[in-house]
Amino acid sequence: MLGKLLKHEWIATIRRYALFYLVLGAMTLFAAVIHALPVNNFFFSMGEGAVLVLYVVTVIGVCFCSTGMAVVRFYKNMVSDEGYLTFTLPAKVEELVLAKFVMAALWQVVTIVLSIVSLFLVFVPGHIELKELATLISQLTEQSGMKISVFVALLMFSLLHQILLYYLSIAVGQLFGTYKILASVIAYCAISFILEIVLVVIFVGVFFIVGFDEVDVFMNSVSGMTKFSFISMGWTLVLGIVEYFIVCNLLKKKLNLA
Amino acid sequence: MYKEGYVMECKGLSKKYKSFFALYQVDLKLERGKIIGLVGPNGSGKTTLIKLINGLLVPTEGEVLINGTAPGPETKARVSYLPDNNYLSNWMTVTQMIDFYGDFYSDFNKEKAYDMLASLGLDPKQKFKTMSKGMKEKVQLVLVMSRDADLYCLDEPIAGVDPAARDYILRTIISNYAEGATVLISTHLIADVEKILDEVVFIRDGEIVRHAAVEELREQYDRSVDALFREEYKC
Repeated sequence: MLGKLLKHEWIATIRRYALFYLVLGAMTLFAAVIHALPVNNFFFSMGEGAVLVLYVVTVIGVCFCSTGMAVVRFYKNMVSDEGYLTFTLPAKVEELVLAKFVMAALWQVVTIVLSIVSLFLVFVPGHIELKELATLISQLTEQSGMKISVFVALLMFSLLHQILLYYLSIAVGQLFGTYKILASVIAYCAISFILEIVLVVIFVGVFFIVGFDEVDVFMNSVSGMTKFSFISMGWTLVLGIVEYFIVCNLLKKKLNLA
Repeated sequence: MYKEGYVMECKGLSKKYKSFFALYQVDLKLERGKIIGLVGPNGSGKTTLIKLINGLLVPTEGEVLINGTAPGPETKARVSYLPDNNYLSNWMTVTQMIDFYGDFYSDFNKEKAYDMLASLGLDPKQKFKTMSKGMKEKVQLVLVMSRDADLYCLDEPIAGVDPAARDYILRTIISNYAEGATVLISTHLIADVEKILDEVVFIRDGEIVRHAAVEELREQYDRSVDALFREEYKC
């Protein structure tokens, strides 16, 4: 059943994401060509600047739209009128939510990868040597105390967790009848705030138990930051699993299709 | 497959919202092979009962069983549900929705669906976003009646339809439901539906007030079910 749900999630979402990526691809090509032209004149530079700004806005827009699509898809298909079909399919609620999450996560990863590739294609060839780029990355790793691969993994975990946080907010918001969307937004703010408070309490606790100086030394070393990143990823994973089960429970026991 | 006993049973079924009981202590048994009208005024609990049968709501008290099992994936595979609102995805075509149903419901008959669409004059390649409300409702009915289910739950199937189409829809219902299956039609338009009903369940303020065969009621009270309903629910 999960396979069928994933198949139909793919069918339902591919057309929108394909459009986003088409726009990204077209803008990448355009910006890369303009940025690579060896024209050195004031007006061209102004135009090139405008194109690059538009390009960066497009990349950011595609990333936001990717996340927005995941949220809208979950809302429409689970807690608005389409929910009457979704929740009468012969599938467990856990499978319904998992299928939505897996496909949303896949699209998020694809969007991030394509955005990184796009940025590379526009700003690197002909402008930055690969050796220079490697040196830059190495310097960033030293200064931040975090390997680029660990940073990317942390970013992915964080983005995927955000999807579940949005789902949880929508699952809470749908309890409120006609004010579902407003309630979902408020739920998102409230849950995010609570999670931040919990994190602050944990950090303060760690500082007091371990000691400020020890923590400072730990956080300023590459191995320390890497370990901290893995702890963060672990925390995000646990949080995500808890949120997933809360979402499933709310939709099983408190579904409120108006 | 479980084919003996009642297709649906409610035992002490209640659904409470804060301090208000939408359904209260409902005991109801539906036999197989009958067309049953669930009649009552707006807000009497008809849709709540149907949602509980379909697992869209969880009971506050009591239980509802379909083929002896509580609502879940197993019962959803045997119950065909037509809600009283549009649930179709606007971006899909009719063909895509038929494929969707075919994928998820092993009892879905694609050929039957296409035949019904043809008789209704509906184009399978048309997208839902280009269809009128009435056309979408007909497509929904076709999808639901193309399943070989044990129980069909139709929530107000003729409410938003013009009088000329009502008879057609009722004929579609009685000529397309699976043999031995039960059709539960929730409606407040009793005059139109009465002629196809075997039994009728009267519901008021969340409680069942009457459950009897239509013929028995007509003989006992010497009037139509519609007239009886109007007397029972007079304001």
